[in-house]
Amino acid sequence: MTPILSATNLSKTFGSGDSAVHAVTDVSLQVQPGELILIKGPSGSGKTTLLSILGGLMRADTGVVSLAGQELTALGEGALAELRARKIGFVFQAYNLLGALNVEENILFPARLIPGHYAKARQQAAPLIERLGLTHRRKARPHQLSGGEKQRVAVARALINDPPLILADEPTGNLDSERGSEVAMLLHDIARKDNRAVVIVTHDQRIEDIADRILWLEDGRIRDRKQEPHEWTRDPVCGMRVDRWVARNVADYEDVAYAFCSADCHERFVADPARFAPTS
Amino acid sequence: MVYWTFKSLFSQPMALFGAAVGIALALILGLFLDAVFRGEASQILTFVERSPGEVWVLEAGVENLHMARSVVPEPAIAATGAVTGVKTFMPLLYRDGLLGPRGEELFAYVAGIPADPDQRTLWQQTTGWTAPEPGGITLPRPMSAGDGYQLGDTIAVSGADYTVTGFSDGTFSMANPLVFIDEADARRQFVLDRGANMVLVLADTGIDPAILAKNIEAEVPGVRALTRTQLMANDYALALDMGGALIAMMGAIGTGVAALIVAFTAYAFVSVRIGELAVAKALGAPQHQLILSAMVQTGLVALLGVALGLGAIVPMQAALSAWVPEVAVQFSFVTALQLGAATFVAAELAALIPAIYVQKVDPALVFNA
Repeated sequence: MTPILSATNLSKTFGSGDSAVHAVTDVSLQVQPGELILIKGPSGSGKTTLLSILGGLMRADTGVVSLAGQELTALGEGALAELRARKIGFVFQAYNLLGALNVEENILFPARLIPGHYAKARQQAAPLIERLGLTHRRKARPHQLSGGEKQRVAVARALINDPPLILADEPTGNLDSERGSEVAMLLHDIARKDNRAVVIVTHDQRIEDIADRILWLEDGRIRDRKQEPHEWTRDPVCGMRVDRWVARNVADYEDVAYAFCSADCHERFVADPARFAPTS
Repeated sequence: MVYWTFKSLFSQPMALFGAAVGIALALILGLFLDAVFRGEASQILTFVERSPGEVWVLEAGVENLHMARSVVPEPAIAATGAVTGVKTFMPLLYRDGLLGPRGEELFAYVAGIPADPDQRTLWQQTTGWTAPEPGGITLPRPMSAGDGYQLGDTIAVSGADYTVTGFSDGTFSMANPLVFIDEADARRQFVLDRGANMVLVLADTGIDPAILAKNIEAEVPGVRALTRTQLMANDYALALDMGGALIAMMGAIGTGVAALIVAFTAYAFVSVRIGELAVAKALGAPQHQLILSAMVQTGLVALLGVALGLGAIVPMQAALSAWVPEVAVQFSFVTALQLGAATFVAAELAALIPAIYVQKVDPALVFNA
């Protein structure tokens, strides 16, 4: 399968001489459509820098980034801005909603940046708003929303231009457990149901379960944590690949052990195991 | 972007109003300095403008009223009256003096109004100012409001006491207020028995004052004859020469301060929006739209500020006249428009700094809380 996002030998250094900080060192990665990847690592490990480079907001010193076959590193500022609008959806920890605009206007803001796209986006907005449970809040301003609602608006905004790639920076960082899980499942569904690539930078242990891969970034270098010893199986509810070694949501049914990608899938299975358990 | 630009601008009315008021105050500061100078200059010229003299006859070599101790001899006065085309002529005494109680004197010009009933009537009709009776004095009206002088009060002119019998408008400047006394009092005060300091001439109907002035100079030896327009121009130039450097310095400082206020206000206004501009950039807004957005917002704030500043002129002039009547202020609409345009340009230039900064926006700004 052709990766939607491909990064090869990316390096980025801030400063020079003794004070030089190697934020990203020789990082390569590929992300497939429908794949959800977590990038984890200690503070200051270069996660945000890597996400900025992948999102075309910062240029690497060396290396190449390609998105949907288009090489970001070869694009000028104008073309890069257009590519961000068309092909990347951003979700931020601080939501970054525009204070003057209401929910619907915030969601549609990226659509205004693509000439001729607004009318079509308006039609798409209504089902998207409904899908994210924001119908009753569509005229509310950001300061009138809860954290969970704000992040759902941010997710809807990221989806409005139908981009193949979603980049999320600590999307659950400002949310309580319940709202965090809600947003994590939302991102999971976006990857699974919409077949989009989702890259999440996070410290949140709770959303490890939903990831296809977890990349560990430390001192600017990256390694694939799930390449370590594992036993792959399929979540019987959503079909996602799950590592039995790290899966925390498990259940037994008719002497068979099942592992789930998330608590949500686990609950759905427990409620009606016969529906999801594979027939022999 | 246009939609967001306007919604963002009007979503915080207090911030918008605050920035506009800052710009308006800067504009008013610039306008005020100009208005003070114009007011002073206007007060200096009002005497010449209103007095019944289309041609002013002075001692030869005198070009303005600042040289107030010059004298036109009596034969020259009579000869002036005999020049063809002279309808009426009015000898006038006019000198500098010290006004007020000892130790608190104010430099002033003192005019002695002729005692001749016809000329007194002409004077009052033309100028609107009271021609005082012997022992009386007409003071500039701001001295009533500012210093508390009332009709019937006593005030000294170079040591001699006079009773306040009237007030005049347009004759007070901080540099040299003008007072009127009776001709006989002036002769005694100035120790001038004969002649006059100047002669005011009205031309016959159909006679060009400029030609009449030339004829007077040609026919009357030892005099300088200037039309009213020439004399006003000379006095205005003199006022500029005397106060020009100071006023220019004040103007430069004032304009500089005003430009800084405008620049800071515009910069602050855009800077608080840097975060949102950065978000817009991350989401795919092109550079030129971001810069345009910042410029449009600042431009509208500047326009609102200029409108507030211009709108404040009329009530400000009235308020200042009531509050500090001794300071003559005269706002100029043309200057206001010029300064308004300069304010707008300064605001836009200042807005360029944060707008250009957006071009190099740090991704951490959008990714970090």
